[in-house]
Amino acid sequence: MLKTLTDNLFLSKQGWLCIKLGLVLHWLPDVGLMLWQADAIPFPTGLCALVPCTIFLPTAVKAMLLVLMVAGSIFYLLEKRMSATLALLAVLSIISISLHESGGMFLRASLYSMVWVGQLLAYLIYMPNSAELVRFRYQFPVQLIAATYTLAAISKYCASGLHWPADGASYMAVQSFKGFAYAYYDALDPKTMQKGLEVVAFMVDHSAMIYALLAGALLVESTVLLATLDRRITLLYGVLLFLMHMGIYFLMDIIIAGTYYSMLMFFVNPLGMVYFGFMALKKSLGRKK
Amino acid sequence: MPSTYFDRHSLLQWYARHLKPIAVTITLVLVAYAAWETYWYLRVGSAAIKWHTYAAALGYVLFIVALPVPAMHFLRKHLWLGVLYIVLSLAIGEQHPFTLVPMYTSFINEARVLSLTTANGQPIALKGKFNGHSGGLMHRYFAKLNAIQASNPNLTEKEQNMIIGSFLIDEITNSSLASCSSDTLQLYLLTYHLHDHQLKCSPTLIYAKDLNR
Repeated sequence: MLKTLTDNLFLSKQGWLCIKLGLVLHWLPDVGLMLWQADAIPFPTGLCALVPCTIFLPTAVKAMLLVLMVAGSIFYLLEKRMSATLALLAVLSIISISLHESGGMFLRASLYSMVWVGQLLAYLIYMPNSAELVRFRYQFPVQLIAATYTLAAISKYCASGLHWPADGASYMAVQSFKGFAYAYYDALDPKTMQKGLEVVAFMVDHSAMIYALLAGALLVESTVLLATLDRRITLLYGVLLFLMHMGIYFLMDIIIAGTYYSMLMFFVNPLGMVYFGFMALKKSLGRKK
Repeated sequence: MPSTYFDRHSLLQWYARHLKPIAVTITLVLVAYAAWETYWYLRVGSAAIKWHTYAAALGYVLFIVALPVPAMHFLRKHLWLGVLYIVLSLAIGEQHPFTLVPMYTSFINEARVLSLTTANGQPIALKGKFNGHSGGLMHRYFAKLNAIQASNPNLTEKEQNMIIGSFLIDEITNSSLASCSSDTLQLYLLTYHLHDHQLKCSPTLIYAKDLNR
């Protein structure tokens, strides 16, 4: 049953459309806003360290790039000229996020670009309409997403070693407060500061639980490459990573959008869940009649 | 009908056909190399680890990964792109679209937040008044700090903060949404830390600007 569900979610025509729709619905506003807000390049990085990105800053150029983003997204949803469309979306994503990061902002949105690159590679390598293409246009992004979480684990081992959960149990409360403090100084709403202080008090009082949660998160990140081996394991890791991101949101007031939404679409496919859930309900109601 | 545009397995097939002589050669070379590296490591410690150490390690990993056995075939099929991305990201570092995902890799007893205030220390909300937000201001603070430390490593912390403060206040006052009723803007760096299970805050004035000048 789980195999049928994951085959439907990740390989069927409807499931694939749901993944694409979910991705576009998050990528387009997030990356479009990054592009639109870019107004200077004080700290060139990514593509902007290689080419003079100031050519992308005039409003007319940004508007043209936004139009291309929308057009590319529509072609992508309609599955038209996929190699060219995915190449365009990958380049637009890399330009926009490089511009954004070159302004000194780091929203860690690398996966937004890499999921386009993964799909593009599948369409370049495999013949159109082949079973391999159907499999690998989904599996390549899954590999890249799993690789990103693995890199997160490697960075933690390099910076803190196995002490990371213990350090977190002692001091994560301070880092958690930072997110609430940012929100407070944005709007000066005293409720935000109060909530931040309550979270700090909770974390200080429950350090053993924080240790267990951090150790669990590190274990999930360290073993996430297993998710590439089987679609049922992908779904399991999707749920575990979803819970990890919910924990980060509630304790730190942070959503790492580029990573979280890419993972959610390819590991869980929530729109597909709703679609197939609705279809199953419709079928069972039809049987009762 | 072939499923790929090109035959991806030709190199692997050659490797499988000549596996025995390749394996013997690699083993002989690696045993001698490992003995040599161990000797130097015992003499000079981590200084013995050079580019050729990494090259040998990578070569050995490739040799294992290319082995014509079902387990490796399975791994090659499911993981090659992910592993390639990990290796490239580790080599290239934090340059989009590559990343080391460096957020919260270590937890220290300190968190820094910037606060914009009037002359008498009254905080000013950033949202709606300026083209930015508190988190973004802090990101720019660290980006500027990294740039200063790279170009001018001998500056004191106070001097670094003066330069960063001037840069950030100029950016705030030049923003398209800038509007402020105060004549003077002050930028405070608030450092939060835990002491006896209580959150403490140490404010430091890093820059002040008279807007009438």
